[in-house]
Amino acid sequence: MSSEPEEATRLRFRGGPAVSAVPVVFFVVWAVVQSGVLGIGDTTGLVVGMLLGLIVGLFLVRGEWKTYADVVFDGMTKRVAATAIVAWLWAGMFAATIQTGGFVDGLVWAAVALDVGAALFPAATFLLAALLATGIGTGYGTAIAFTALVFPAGVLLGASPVLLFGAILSGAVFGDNLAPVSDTTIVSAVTQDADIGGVVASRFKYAVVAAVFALGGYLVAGSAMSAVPLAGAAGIAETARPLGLVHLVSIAVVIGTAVSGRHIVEAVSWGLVVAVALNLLLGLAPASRMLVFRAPESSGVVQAIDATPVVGGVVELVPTAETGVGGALYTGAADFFPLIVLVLLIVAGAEVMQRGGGFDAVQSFLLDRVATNVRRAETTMVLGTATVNAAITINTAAEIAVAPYVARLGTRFNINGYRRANILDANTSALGYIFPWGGGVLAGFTAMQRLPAEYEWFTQSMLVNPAAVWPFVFHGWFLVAVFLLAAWTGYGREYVSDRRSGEVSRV
Amino acid sequence: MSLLETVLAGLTFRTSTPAFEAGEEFTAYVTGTDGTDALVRIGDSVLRLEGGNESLVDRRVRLRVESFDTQAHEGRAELRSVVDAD
Repeated sequence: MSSEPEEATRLRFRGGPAVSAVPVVFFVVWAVVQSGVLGIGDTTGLVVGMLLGLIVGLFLVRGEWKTYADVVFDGMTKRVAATAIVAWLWAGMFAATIQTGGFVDGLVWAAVALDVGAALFPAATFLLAALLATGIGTGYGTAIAFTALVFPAGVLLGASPVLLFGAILSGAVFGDNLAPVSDTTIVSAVTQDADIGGVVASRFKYAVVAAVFALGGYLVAGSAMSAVPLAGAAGIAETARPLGLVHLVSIAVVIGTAVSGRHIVEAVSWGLVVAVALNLLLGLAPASRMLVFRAPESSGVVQAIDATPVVGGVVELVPTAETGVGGALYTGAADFFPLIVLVLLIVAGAEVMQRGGGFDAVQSFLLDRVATNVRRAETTMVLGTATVNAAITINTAAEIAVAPYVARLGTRFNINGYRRANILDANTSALGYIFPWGGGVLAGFTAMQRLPAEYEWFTQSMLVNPAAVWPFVFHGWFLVAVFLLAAWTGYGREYVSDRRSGEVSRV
Repeated sequence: MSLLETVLAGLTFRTSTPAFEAGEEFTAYVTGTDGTDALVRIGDSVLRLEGGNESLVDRRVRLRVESFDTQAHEGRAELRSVVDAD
């Protein structure tokens, strides 16, 4: 935990310590308006919100503005941000690489090969989406891939569209919560001073309980809500290939090495090596799908390189206006750039609040009035995390904002870092996929809107209203319920004193 | 710890008032003071850390339990060392 702010760098604000919360509050209001009211799930838009929040805060400082600027720099160079950024970049490359290798295609094949009918399809979809999300660590990516590929297959077979969409989002919640390469898992571990492998291992006891209930829910609701198959259902299997399922090995390598205590960068690097090797050896994807240099065709040097045997495989000749680098490794890392900038700025905003005394004020209120015993502290952590995540579209951003409170409340009762990370991540993952402004719901719905143009038989009436799916995201609701019960009964609770300190070490 | 033990760790219903044995040694965060001594609150149990002061609050320390009253959920502990240097 961080020590008390040094007197020399304490910030003073016009209007008192509470005003130091202005940059973060400005950002939260911006995020709610942008994502909740206007329905825009654009991370770079949130970056601008946080930037403006930091500028507004500057005008409220008493004394030298340089001190405020120094605090912003101090926040941005915190180790927590750097650790999350490094892990995101690695995880992004890994996820994109196995997707390029046809992993989703393999899952669709499995669903069809197992011959699941309309009644079982939502339950099977939940399991397969959970598997994909656990492997690639991105619930948003899972929501998009499954809505584009598996959702139409289920609708064709006669499964209820709204239940199916709920099952996909539930699978996304499961993976976002459990995957070692998930951005929310990484943030939960590093902000609670716990190693990622240990956090994942300690998470099964909650995730599995919620998943069993969710699976039961999809089996029951699947039977009750199924309809007759549409004409043309038989043709789905023809396009799906099973070979992509080989990436279960890549995923097992990442989870296995991470849970056995290796650094997440090492674990994902091994998984990445295996995934690239499998793609190349089995012909799942050529090298250029993973990394490609699109160089100007007019250049003689480029033409010569393109003609060479090995290196030429990753060089593509294009018109000068279309030059650039691409491929799964490139896009996998680049997709995280807006989130990386956002996390740096949010951590800076949180540092301003910490040095200005606003953080202490909120914390004192919670500790003195609300979290007066360990049950109430854990319940406050569950409900606080859930509420902030219900309000902010990008759940990772919400998680970063609420993480310092979970850390402080938890350590005041010596609640183990693993337990704190689990409370933080489960409720972050769950609430990001339930309400219509949630990033996962928006990502899936965006993919769904393309379906009528893609399939002749897919009518507008088969589209699921994002505002209608919330009761059907069973795993999300059960996960929150499991943690409320766990806070009350002590299920899974561990104290700092319960495990040797060496195991709860920073990654 | 084996892989299975890591997964199964904490798979219990843990009390909100943990008890400790005299002589037990572990690390924990110092959570506050009562004006004279530092206090280590673990769940709803409290260990009084003799000789500790306010500067230790929020620091992680290694301590040895000297006595613990399982009825009152309170005890005394000796400060061995400050573990964290964050």
